[in-house]
Amino acid sequence: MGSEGAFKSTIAEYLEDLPAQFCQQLFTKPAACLAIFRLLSTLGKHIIMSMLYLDAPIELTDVLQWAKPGKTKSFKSKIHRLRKLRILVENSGKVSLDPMFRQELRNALTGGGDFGSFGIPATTRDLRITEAWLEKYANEKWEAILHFMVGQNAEMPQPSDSVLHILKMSRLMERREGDMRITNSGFQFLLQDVSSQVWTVLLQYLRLAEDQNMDVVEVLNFLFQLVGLQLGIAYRTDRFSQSQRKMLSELKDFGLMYQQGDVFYPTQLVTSLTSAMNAEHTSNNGQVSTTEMSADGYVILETNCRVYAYTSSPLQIAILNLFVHLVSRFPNFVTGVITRDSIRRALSNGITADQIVTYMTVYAHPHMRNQMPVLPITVTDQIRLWENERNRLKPTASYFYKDFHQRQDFERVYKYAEDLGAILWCNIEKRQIVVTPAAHVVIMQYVRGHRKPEQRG
Amino acid sequence: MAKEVEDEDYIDIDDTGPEGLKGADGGYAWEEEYKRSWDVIQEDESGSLQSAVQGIQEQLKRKRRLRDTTAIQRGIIRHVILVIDGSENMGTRDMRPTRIAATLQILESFVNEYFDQNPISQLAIISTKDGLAEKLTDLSGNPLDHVNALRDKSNKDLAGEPSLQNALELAMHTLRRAPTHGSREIVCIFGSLTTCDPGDIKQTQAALKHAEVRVSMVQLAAEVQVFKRICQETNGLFAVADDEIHLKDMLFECIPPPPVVSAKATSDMIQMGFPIRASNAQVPTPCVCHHELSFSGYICPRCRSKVCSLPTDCDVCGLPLVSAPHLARSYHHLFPEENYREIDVEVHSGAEHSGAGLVCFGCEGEVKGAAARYQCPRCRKEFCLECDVFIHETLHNCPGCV
Amino acid sequence: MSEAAEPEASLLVVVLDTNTAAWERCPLQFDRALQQVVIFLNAYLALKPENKLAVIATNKSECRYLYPTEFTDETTIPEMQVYEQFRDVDTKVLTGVQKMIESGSMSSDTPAGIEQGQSQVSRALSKALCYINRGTKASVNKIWPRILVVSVADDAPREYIALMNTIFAAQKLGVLIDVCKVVGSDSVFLQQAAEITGGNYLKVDTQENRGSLLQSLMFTCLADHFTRSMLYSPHNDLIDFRATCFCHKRVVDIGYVCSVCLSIFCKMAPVCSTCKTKFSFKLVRAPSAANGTSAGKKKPPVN
Repeated sequence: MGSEGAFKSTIAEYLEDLPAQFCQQLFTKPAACLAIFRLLSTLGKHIIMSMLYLDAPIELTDVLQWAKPGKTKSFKSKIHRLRKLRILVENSGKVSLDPMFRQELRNALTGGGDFGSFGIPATTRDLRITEAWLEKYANEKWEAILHFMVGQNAEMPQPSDSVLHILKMSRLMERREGDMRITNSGFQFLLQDVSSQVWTVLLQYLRLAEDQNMDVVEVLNFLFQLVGLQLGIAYRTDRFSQSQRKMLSELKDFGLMYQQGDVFYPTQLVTSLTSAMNAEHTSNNGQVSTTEMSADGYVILETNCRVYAYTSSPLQIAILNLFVHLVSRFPNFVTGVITRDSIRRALSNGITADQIVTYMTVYAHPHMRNQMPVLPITVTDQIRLWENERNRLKPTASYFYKDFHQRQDFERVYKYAEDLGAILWCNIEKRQIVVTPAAHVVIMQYVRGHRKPEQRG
Repeated sequence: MAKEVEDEDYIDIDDTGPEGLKGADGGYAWEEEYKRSWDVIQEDESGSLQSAVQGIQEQLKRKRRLRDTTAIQRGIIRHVILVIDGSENMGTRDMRPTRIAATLQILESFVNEYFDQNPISQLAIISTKDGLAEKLTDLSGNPLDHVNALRDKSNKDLAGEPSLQNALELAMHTLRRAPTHGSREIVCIFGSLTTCDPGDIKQTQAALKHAEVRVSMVQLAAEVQVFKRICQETNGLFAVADDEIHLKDMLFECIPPPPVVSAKATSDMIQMGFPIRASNAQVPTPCVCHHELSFSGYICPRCRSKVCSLPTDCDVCGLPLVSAPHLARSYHHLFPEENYREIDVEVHSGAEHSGAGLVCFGCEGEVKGAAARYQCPRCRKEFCLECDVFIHETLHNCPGCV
Repeated sequence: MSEAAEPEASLLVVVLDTNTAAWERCPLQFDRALQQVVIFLNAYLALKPENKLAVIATNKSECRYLYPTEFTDETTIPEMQVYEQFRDVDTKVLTGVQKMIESGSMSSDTPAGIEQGQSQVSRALSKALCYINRGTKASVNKIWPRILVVSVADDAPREYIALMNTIFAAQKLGVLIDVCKVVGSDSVFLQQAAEITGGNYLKVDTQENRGSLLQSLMFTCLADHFTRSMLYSPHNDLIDFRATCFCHKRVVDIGYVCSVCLSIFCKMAPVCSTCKTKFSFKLVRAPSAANGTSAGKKKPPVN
């Protein structure tokens, strides 16, 4: 899904931008290696796995021949990405995996390496805290934050200061007239799926950590370790460093984990981060269960723009309300219509048509998922058309030349401007030209060199 | 008598007289009480229809899973003649885009599926229009030839009336040369309600019956007594297609090999070639089937000529060329799996005091307490419904017995 | 954006041949090989958290699921340095294999018709397909099924029909069958399985170096459908689709096929040894070759 891919790439981009020695430090932890590995594209994973148990470097040209003709381009771009992430190192035409990365990824697969790299499970645990309970807990926490952002329910308790701080820093909300108000990017944020939202917050947290002069590698390592934990298992905190404890207490407020004394339980918000399908929270036990995914889809969209949403969650209704004209509400579902006005309202809030379409696709009712494409084309096209409608007028700074006395004058200037590629608009009969500001100075010099012109700015 | 007839035969006025029109309750079919199908569905305690719908689905599945598994001799080597109506009646637009276009499209998949399931069988196509019957393809074992013939645009030039008799005579003539160990079948697709014949079609019918040719027909318009009678007399199927999907279903019923009932059927040894794939040739060489240059192909073991694909007949020496998997594809028709027995859940769980359900031997999934389980009569292993259907429809292997 | 259209999850069923007699012939020790397979499983799970896995082990006398199973060892607390999901699979597979070997060595009774070095591959494949059938039907999202057979045992001719049935069922379900043959000669049956279903057939030469099984698995069998569409796969051009005759087990170029049961013989016989049909004494040549090209076309009727 598009938006999620974009956010994943930002964490990848974040890693790409890290200095080389930071990467080396990151690669010393198997959990980090595994998490980074999971963030890569399928092809990138395949390249790594193919080379993981090769001891000698191989010729780059040989690697490129793995790809079928016509696919080489995307294959090359994947290799380039791996090199930017410093996972792949090239040496005189031969490539191999970074030795540290190779060692630690092998350790991750074989279970070698450091003690406690995937968390230290506690020996005692509270039996009341089940996976289902954690899931509910995390969802409540997360939805409370989102709900606070939508700002429709005053009774909701305000999130903690660290949460507020991150929301403000990431410009998802801003302080206006004493109140916290949602921004345009905040609206966009709301329409993303949960794991993109969590990534956004975590990235922001990383930037914040940088500003506070915390050790970025430590923060990253800690995050990647969290990502590798297992839902429903209690982990000990007593071996954590001071800063790790601080991070734990800050991330706790987002519902990423539940803490109880010196034991904490990661929730699915963090354990399912490296999975692609995030609408559902797979229990990761390899069993195929029938109930997966069905829990989350609730929106039915008809070709006549009518929307039926099987939900009683105030948050989901509030989000739908961003772009749907809601008509009626029943105990377990709401109906509404997508109208030009409702879409324009959303667009003016900074939400894009693609986000609306993606949101409805992600949360489509299971029955909708059987059809291809999931949403009726008529409606998605119409939403995009409404978006284009807003883009009909585009202001561009420019200069307007008119009242040429002689035809030759006009033609000379016209020809000169055309050669520059600076004409935005012209009317030959009325002898009028509009040019770009950049070209204005040059044209003026040209005109002055020939004859005294008439011009207005 | 009347009651039995009701299902299959109530327009057969000649046979049964007015009795044939009687419905199940003794009245006429149109006098029967209107069936309120929605009354069948009952809400469960929580007011949901889920369980009722599920029950109906299970019933459907169960119906499908019971099939005849008696080890009868089936005509694995078949000779089927497809007869396509090319009359003006096929231009009717009750099927999209026209009857003929829809038919040809379905026939293309029919041909492929036919050779998929009957790899060593033969097929020929006959078209009838303007009172004439014309052979589009001769009996051959190469699906590509037939598909290409079906794709020929001239098939869509419709003209005049069809002639069933001419088509059947031509088909019979073609089949006369087929060896006796194979079955002889004719499958017609007719859009016309009339046929324009040179003689008495009853004689043709008798001849067909004598030659033990099985005639099946799918009608696109309505039931016609003469057509139906021919099919019945020759042990074939007759059906009227409601729409394209129904047409396809009806046609595809003719794909699994029919049981051999003929007294004349003999068994023979057929000489067949198992070619090896020629590849890694440095220079492309032409194939004998299309005369096109290619690098790979199959070499006929007898005359060393190269053909493009299997199964086919060698164009030079006429040897049927197959690969071993092609033969294997037919084995499940010969050795069908036995139907599983449904186990009475109450008795079963009462005896074992488990109640928690058991683990399906196939998919290792848990069979919930109330759900039915099925037992293989041979290996006594128990399976869930899903696996039962899968094993008998697709796999043709009992995981417990192999 | 380079991460276009991420492919869906996969469903992999690994059929693991644990036939001890066959492994003894292998230069690669079984426990070593098992370790490498387990690493491969972990690598597969690491690719995508949604990836589903099942492991079926087979030997000469039985065939059972190693993973997923209901059995959980409550006594072990999770280890610290292993990713939890991996640990679950690893312990189940390892203990499962252990149990199989123990029970196999205790009961020496071999089902009739099976030799020491043969395994119940067709039964395992049948089970695998049942599992896949249920798995793909139950899953809401598209899931790409495939099977990996790690085989050491020889082909059992008795299994031919059953194996062929499973291959065609797999083809119908769109299941790729990858085959990794570790010891012995090439398996003709499994070669056909890979070829027909579009999977890879891989013969691992374990004598060369000990890591090559894992490396081969990683390189050829790990890729999902999406990756395979982008990459070249080692293609086996010289698959032998010739048949072996039922009478002498000889590979035949031109054979004689019983028209009733399709048994293949290398020379003429009066009675089919499989179905006991008596043949009419004439050799039937190609039916269509006998056909003339011009079939009598009727004159149009005078109506």
